[in-house]
Amino acid sequence: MGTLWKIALRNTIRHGRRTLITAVVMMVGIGVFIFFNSMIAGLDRMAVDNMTDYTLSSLKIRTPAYVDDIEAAPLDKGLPHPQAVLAAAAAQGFAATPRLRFVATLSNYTDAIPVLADAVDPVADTKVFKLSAAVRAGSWLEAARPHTVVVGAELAHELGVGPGDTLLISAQTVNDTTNADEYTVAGLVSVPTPEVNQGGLFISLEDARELLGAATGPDGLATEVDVALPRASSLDAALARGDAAAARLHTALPDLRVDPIRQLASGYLAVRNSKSRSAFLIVVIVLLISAVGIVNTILMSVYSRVREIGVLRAYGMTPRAILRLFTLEGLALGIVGSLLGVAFGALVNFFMVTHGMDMSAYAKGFGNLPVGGKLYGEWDVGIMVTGFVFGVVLSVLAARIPARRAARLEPTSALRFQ
Amino acid sequence: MTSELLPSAAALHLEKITKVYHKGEGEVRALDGVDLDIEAGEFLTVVGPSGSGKTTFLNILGCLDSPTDGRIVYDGRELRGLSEKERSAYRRDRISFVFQSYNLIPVLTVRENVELPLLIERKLPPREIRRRAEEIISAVGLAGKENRYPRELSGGQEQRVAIARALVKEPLVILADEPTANLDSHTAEEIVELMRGINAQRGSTFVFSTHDRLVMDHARRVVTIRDGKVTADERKNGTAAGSS
Amino acid sequence: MNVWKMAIRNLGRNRRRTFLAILSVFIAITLVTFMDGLISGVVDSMARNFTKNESGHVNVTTADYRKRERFMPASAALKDADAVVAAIRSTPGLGPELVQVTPRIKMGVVLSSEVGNKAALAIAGDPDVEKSMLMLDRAILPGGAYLDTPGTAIVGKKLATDLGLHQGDTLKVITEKADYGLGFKKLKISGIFSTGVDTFDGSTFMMRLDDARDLLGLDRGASQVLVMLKSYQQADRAAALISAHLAASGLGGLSVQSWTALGDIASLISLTSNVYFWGEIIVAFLGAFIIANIVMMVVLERKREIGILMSMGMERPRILWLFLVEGVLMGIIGSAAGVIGGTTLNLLLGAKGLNMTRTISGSGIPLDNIIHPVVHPGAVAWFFALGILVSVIVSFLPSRTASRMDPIDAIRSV
Repeated sequence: MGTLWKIALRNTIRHGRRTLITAVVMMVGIGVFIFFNSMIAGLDRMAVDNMTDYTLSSLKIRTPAYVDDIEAAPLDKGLPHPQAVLAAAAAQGFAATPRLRFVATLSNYTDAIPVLADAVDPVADTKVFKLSAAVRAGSWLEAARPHTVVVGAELAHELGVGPGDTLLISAQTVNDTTNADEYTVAGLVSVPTPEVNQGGLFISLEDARELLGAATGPDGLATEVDVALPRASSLDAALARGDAAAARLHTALPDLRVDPIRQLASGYLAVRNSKSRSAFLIVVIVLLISAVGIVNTILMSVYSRVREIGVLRAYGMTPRAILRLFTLEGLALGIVGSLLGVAFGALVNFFMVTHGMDMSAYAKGFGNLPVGGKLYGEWDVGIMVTGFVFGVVLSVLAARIPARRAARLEPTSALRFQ
Repeated sequence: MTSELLPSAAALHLEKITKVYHKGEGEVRALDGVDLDIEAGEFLTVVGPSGSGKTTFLNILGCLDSPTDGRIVYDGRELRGLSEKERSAYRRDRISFVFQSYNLIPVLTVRENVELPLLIERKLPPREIRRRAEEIISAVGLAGKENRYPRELSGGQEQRVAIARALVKEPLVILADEPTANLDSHTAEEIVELMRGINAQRGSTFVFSTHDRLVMDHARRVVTIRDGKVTADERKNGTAAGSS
Repeated sequence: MNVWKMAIRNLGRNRRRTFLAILSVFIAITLVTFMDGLISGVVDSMARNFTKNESGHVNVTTADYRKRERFMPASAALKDADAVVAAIRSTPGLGPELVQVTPRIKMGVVLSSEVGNKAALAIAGDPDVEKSMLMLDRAILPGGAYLDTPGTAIVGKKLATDLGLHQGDTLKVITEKADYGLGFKKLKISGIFSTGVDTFDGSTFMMRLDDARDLLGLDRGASQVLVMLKSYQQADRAAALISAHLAASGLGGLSVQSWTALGDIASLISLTSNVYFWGEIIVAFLGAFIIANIVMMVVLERKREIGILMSMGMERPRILWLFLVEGVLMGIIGSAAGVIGGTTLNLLLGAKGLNMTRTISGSGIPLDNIIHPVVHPGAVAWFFALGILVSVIVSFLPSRTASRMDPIDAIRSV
């Protein structure tokens, strides 16, 4: 066996150019597969990260009744004891913040538009969401400056307002009456999530409760509590971590609904599988085509060594050994190609992971998806191994076809071959 | 014409060997009823014009091919209806070939080429294989060239390596199909001398085919084949075949 | 003997290999042609959806409305939309390209029901014209009727459910009028429609243009005028013509925009074209590889034959030609078969439609779930040429190697 491997390997090297061309195709195929997967994983990560950082958080705690009626953003199905929920989260070591969501009409006195407003705790919110860091003009909400709001940058642009301008906000109160009041724009936020940019309105909990005629104070009206979890190394890890945290919190708060990010982003995550499936399909096609190349390359090898095969057979080498010899050549070729592929993929991936790719130019093209900013790749050793194994296995299988032809050669005709 | 020695006394006994090919619509009788006995340690030449059946004869002798009809007895053992697997095994254990050209595996060194038959056989430990290979390489006069590749050798040197390889497993018989055809007359003579020398020293049986007169002259027994039949069988001390 | 004839015969010598080569090119070109059709179908769908539902191919509003478009202010609507429509219809240079000109009103309203109040979007248009544009008449659930009588409305399924309303119920609509006052109207729900797009069905209802004008206090006004053309590629040109003509007709100062300037569609299209371009490159690369591989193999196999041909006096350029032609022939056959295959696929799927619900839904991209691939004669011709071009380039080097061989080595070889 060692001898066969020696001969196979040396022959692969001997016909360097042939080997290289075939290997290069495999390299591109596997490399693109790895890169593509990384990009898709990175895209998914980015989208979910954006959702986590700006709209969804890692975990939402709400009443079941509220979630059932979530479209209407009702004010009468809020959390009975927000303080208890916050304490439960703190007990687990998580950062948490209460929020109150309500339907409001935002007006610059000329035009009006309905929005879904978020009333937040100006300080606690910054521990869970990253909105405060995304303020592009003006500043975030401060407890010291009441009656201010923060508006999504695009929405503010459409309304023609900036920091310091006044807006009129009207909403339905808890008593089903309508109330309105004026607020000053404190700042504008600009984030990769279109939802916030185009329709985001943030106000302090105290101001909102006053406007809505709701209970105030530490246990005042809150429709949800949002929880932040430490950043995980990969999307799957983040999802798992969310699930685990949700389970723990649910035991502590059995009457409430605890939805981790996997649940909250389920619509987006549902498309994940079909994307990676199409990437896999592409690489399969590429590798199938390289398989044809491998068949040819080994066939060329057989063809140029027919006499040699005759001599080997004359010396008692069995047909099976001949089969093995050329299969090994295919294996050698496959290993070279797959190694190059993994190396190439790893190199591109390294660049993607450390430097990332700027997606801002494409952000608009993605419609409502929270894509924007820099796209970073993700390392996935599993994918690299899959690519490598697939390439090698395919090469071996492809090589078997000409190898079988070689094994079936009659020694006498082989020796006579010109 | 034929020598009816008792089968057990001869190393190889061929009886009424016939080989028929079908080419297109007709049939070709490459060999037609060949009878021959070869004793252990003989140095025998097979001569004849091209198309006479020399190569076919050697192929059958070497178990590379099976006769359409006839009997072969090798070292007391009847070879009939062997499967390809069995024939492979037989070739591996008892027969060695030297060809006219393209004998050596280009990607293996001289030593590796010579070791090859023993490696295929896989019966001896690596150290022993190496020792035997080196010994044989010296015996054919190529000591010091063990690590060269075939492309670095001359035609004559390549054939020496081929002979060394043929010898390394101490076969029952060494079959050489026109081993000197590609060499100049001087080198050809050296090769035949070498074969004779080994035949004398080690008692290895040599059967080789040639159409070269000069080479023929070195042989002790010349079997002439023409149109698939043995037409002459001379032993060189002036005695005709058949008499001792 | 004629090089082409020799090439054909040679290809027949090793049928399996020739077949493999042609097959690979065929697969590559079919893929590329099909992908082009698919992407075109996707782009078409996007363009069609956007233009007939949102903006038309050319969209005309007042300059002020355009600035505040998000808020759909009735106060900034076109005062005399009918005049604008008439003027556009007489635009010189458009001729048969002009398919339809129609006014539309879009407004943000509050709908009131027992269950509560809800913000919604109202679209009002000429019911007959909208049969070929919004086509909501086709989406009406069985038992319902379209906007045949004045004072009726058709409501999105989810919107109706959220408001607890059914067919036959009264819809109460509140909105800001053109004079900034509060407008109120009751409409009878004549039908419930379902388009399958939840965001649309949950927020939209449709009413008649005359009813909307009444509600808003607009006499002949409308928020916008939509222009539909024969082909969406003509939009930019048409927009320019219309703008000039309107200005010349005393209706200047309006915002006349082609659909490409509105919305995010253009960037989505360029994104998909980009992705596709790279796909094309990769596939071409693969096809090239196969042919290279095979021609190399062929040259090796026939080394001795080359030597003999040369020794018989065949000149080197002719040897080059011979192998080149073999490669090119395989390329031609493969490409031809490929474009035929891809085009056939596109034609079949174009008629039937490809269900891409799994891939599209949830992505938020404005597409139909069923895509109809499009056949582009220009693209088809290009792919055919590409296949041949690649075959030529890639067969060249090995053919040259063949022509440069030393005849004596060649004869002796393998």
